[in-house]
Amino acid sequence: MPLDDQHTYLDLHVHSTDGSDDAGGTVEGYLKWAAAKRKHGFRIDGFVLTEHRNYVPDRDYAELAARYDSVVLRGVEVETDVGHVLVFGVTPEFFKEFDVANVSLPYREVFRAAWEVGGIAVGAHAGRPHIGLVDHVEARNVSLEDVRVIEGLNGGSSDFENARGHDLALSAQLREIGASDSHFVTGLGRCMTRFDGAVRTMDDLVARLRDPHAVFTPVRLEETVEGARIADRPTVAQLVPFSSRQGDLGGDEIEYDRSAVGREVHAGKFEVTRESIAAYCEALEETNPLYTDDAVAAEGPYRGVVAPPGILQTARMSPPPDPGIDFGTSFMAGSRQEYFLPLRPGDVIDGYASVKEVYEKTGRSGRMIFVVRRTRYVNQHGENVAALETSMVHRQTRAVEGDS
Amino acid sequence: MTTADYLATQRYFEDTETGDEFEVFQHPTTEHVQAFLNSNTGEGPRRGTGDGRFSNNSDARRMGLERPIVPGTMSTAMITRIVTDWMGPLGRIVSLDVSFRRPVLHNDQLRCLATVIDASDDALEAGGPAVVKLDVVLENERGERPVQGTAEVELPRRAE
Repeated sequence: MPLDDQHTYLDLHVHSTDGSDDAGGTVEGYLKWAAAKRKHGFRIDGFVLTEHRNYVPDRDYAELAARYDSVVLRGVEVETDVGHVLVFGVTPEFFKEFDVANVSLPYREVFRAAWEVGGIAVGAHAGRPHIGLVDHVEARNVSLEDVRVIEGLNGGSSDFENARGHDLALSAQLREIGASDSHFVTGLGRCMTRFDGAVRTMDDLVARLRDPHAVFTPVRLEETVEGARIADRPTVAQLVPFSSRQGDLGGDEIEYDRSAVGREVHAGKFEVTRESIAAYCEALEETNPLYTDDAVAAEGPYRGVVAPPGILQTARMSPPPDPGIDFGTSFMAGSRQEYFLPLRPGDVIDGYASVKEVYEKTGRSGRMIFVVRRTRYVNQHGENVAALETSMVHRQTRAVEGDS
Repeated sequence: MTTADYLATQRYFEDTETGDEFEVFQHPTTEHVQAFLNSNTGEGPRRGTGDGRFSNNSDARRMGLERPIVPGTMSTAMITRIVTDWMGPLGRIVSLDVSFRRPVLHNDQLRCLATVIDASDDALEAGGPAVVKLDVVLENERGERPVQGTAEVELPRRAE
């Protein structure tokens, strides 16, 4: 369905590969996805890119958006001492006042400054532990004097977390928006905001969000099809609590050995064997004959059995030079894999590892330090067969209370 | 499965459309996790034997986890598997990115979902390969999506 002037459905919180390190969706990918959903009767009229901790002023998606009959606007998601905050309608004056890369901006100043420059700040995923407003209101009774709007319906939050946000909005008389917080294309529009009338520009959007009489409502994607009813939102009392609350926000700058970054070392060697392929396939209940059946594989594209690409996940290599992060416990946060050539039984693979980068941000589990490692894999012929980047997050942990 | 049966599962570029979905269900038990860790090979240090997060309930709870977790490498392997299952024997994974947003726990009932997000002819018209983009997700029975990612897969064309 093309854009109309009766209602506008906008996803107000979207991350893309253009500006968010943890996103996998491209801007054009989102636009194609919105077009595909429209063919099936859903409404996604546009979205606002709110990249984490950065805003590139001269980036312009107007032409691309027009090609898909869609709206693409730009805000920013900043990190404050009460969690994450979406800022819409920012101006150069706003950026003069704040370094948006800082992960602990003073929230009152952010809300005030956004309003004074003619924009608006919105408390993101309000019900989420640590990085949403509710925790800080409950624990420290922080003032909501400058807060007018919160994201009470967030596509990346659990139902319980969204209910916490909704309850805060009801008790503190705050307006609510809905948004997907999408990092990947298929998440776009899971939650959105429905505005009465046409919203096509950032000025339109900010005017609606600042106007206490403007009509806007959080909705889920399935509520956008013609004839669908917007369901009542559950409250905390109606849901079972579940939280992954762990560490704290704030603290001193993390010290680490910067000379460890970028140095590549030989990390070890392993041989691809029929036994290792069989063991991997058994663990994953993998039955693909390309990996398990000589007769079928002989007729296949590689003229013989090859290893599943995922077998590289089982290769034990020594770690790269240690940057010496002395903070919390490390967990795997993500990976990027590139495959260049198949692995065959008998291949002997050398790994070369390095630390690509170290950076910090905040999330459900509080403060987080990320270490990105890169390993490239080379076969006995000197050919690069694959490259794996693994992102490890260091975060604080707290024991789960009660019986298991 | 015969060779002919297997090759008949091949997916071709012309047959894909944005929005197509493909799903596989996985139920990683404690035994599966142990088997995966035992399948690890190479000269480096053994994984999963240090702090007990992958195997021991008490250790996991001490670390703030409801119960032992599935190693990230195994979750990545499960995501990789859905892509290889989807693409068929002549397909090739060009790249795969995954992001862990919550832990995957032992005995989670996982729906592994791959969705075509871009199967347009743009790249082909520019003289490039027939690459399809997928979103890949592990979704648990609580409706959470602890692992999400994207894959680029090169598929054969029917004319080839």
